[in-house]
Amino acid sequence: MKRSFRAMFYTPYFLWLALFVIAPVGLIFYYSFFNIRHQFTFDNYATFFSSGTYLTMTANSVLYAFLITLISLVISYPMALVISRLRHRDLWILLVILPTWINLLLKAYAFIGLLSHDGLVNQLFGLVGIPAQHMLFTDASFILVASYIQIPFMILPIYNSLTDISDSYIKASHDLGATNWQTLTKVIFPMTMPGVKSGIQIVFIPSLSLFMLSRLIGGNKIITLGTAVEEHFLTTMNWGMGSTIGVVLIIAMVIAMMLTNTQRKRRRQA
Amino acid sequence: MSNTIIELQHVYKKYDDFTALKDINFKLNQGEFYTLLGPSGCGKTTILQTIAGFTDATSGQVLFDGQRINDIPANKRQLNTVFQDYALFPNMNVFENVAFGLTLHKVKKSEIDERVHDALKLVQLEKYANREIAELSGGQKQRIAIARAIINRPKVLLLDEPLSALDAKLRKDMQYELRSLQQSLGITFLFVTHDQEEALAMSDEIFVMNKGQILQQGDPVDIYDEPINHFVADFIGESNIIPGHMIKDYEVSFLGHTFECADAGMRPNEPVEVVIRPEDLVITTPDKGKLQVKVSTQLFRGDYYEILAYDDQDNEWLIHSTNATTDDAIVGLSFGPNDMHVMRYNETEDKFNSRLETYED
Repeated sequence: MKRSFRAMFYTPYFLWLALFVIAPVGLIFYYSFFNIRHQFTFDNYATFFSSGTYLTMTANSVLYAFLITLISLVISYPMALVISRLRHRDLWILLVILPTWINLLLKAYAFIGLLSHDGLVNQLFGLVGIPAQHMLFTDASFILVASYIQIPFMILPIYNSLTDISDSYIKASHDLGATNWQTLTKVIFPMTMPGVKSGIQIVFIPSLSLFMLSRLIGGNKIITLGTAVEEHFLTTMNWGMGSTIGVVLIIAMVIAMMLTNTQRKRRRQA
Repeated sequence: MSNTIIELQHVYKKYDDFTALKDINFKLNQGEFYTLLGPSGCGKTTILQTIAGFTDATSGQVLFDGQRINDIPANKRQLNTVFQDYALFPNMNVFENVAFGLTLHKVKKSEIDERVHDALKLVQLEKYANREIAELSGGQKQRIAIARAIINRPKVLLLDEPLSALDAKLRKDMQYELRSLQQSLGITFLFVTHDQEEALAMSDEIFVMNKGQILQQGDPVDIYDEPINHFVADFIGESNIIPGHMIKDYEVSFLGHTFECADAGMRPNEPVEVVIRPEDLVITTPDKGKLQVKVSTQLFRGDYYEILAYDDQDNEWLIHSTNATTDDAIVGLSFGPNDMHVMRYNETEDKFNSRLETYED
């Protein structure tokens, strides 16, 4: 009786997992072993790892994702630190989260308006006598906009881990003679590492496969693995190759997760 | 005096519409164990925080070794704190926590090792250096917090209700340990607690506080035997407090009887309160007792019986007795002149002390 009752609660969860997580991942693996004529083959993987184009694309994706993560971290940490000390910090953090409620496309188009040749930024430049810059469709603008979009996802976990730190740790640190800077580097920063790590995971992994932004802001000059997947599925109809890239992305994500998750175990051995 | 290490002069702490500290004045000598005792919200922790440098006094002076330290930040003050929740850094192990104060000051590695080892030995946890904080029990965390706080060799250690999270047995053990630690280190301890038993057991000197003021200062025996007013008598230990009148020196009347007592220096017929501690009341037969009461309830407390009784005017009497009595029995209570302590209404501590000096010894 009790057991069947409990099973009722589990069933939707397992169904969800099976249908929307396990089955799609399985299918991606499955398709990656077929070529465009539906014949079983390892060629897709051979092509991927022997082609300079795909490997540079992978390197580019990782590099862009790394830069986006780094920039959003460098901006987010001090911001989270400041917000966590403010009087109405809940309100401020709400304002930081607010942009995530706006559709990604809308935000991308807004940036096109801001950064375009006759956009607001160039108009302001004109006012102070700087000649109009070509900003749209550059690497820099792509990274800027991508970082802007990811910042709330980076701030939130860091902010949460900062507010979790009891005031007495900071008092204890000062009490033992630490300056503000020493307290930040030796106590606050290490204690917020879990937040930083989940922020990195949340930002880095999706950044590997951003394709809409790379089109709209990067102007199709930036081809990441995400754009390649989209091309293969929608344009060349080579689902096998698309799935292979998908598998590579999944593996890259697993590696990223593992790299940011080892901290607890290493501490135990020390 | 040159051996005063901390002095507070007219310290006030005011928040918008609330005064947390009202004219606090005291001196702490080197090498003594002091306790700030009072109910929660009485301002005792605020005093500690003012001395530690975590909060500013609104007005008044905080002196350390004769120097004003009001404007010196917490990290530059030569005193350390043991926090109520210990505040051991979870990202460091035991060794790193204890060494924290030394690593900040570029002390040599070999000296750090030696001093951490000594500090851990002092709290009897030298084998725990490589443990993680999460692996320690409450009592062990407590000791590590003390080891960490004494590593910088402070002249004063501030302890903010450090025993409140421990169970009763451990708390008693730690009382002995803290006391002997303080004596072997020879530094000043300022201990904050709401537990009168802790305060009586460990302190050289107690400050009893209520509502932002120090009501009475003295050694544990004085405070227990000669409380200044109703609040102190009630807060420190159990007590029976009865309103009465001082007939003349050494003679007090209450409940319609006149008794010989040991107090003097009051106006004739002054209204007073009389304190009798429950352990000073002896149960006898009704005709031998000075008062007759009717037993209502008895509770067995292990080492004694706590007996609740009522006199014919419905006053409650609390009696501690090693022997049980009979429920609903009428019994007599006997007590001697020295078992009674007479308190005047609204007497200041200065006047109280000088009045005691006129007739004692």
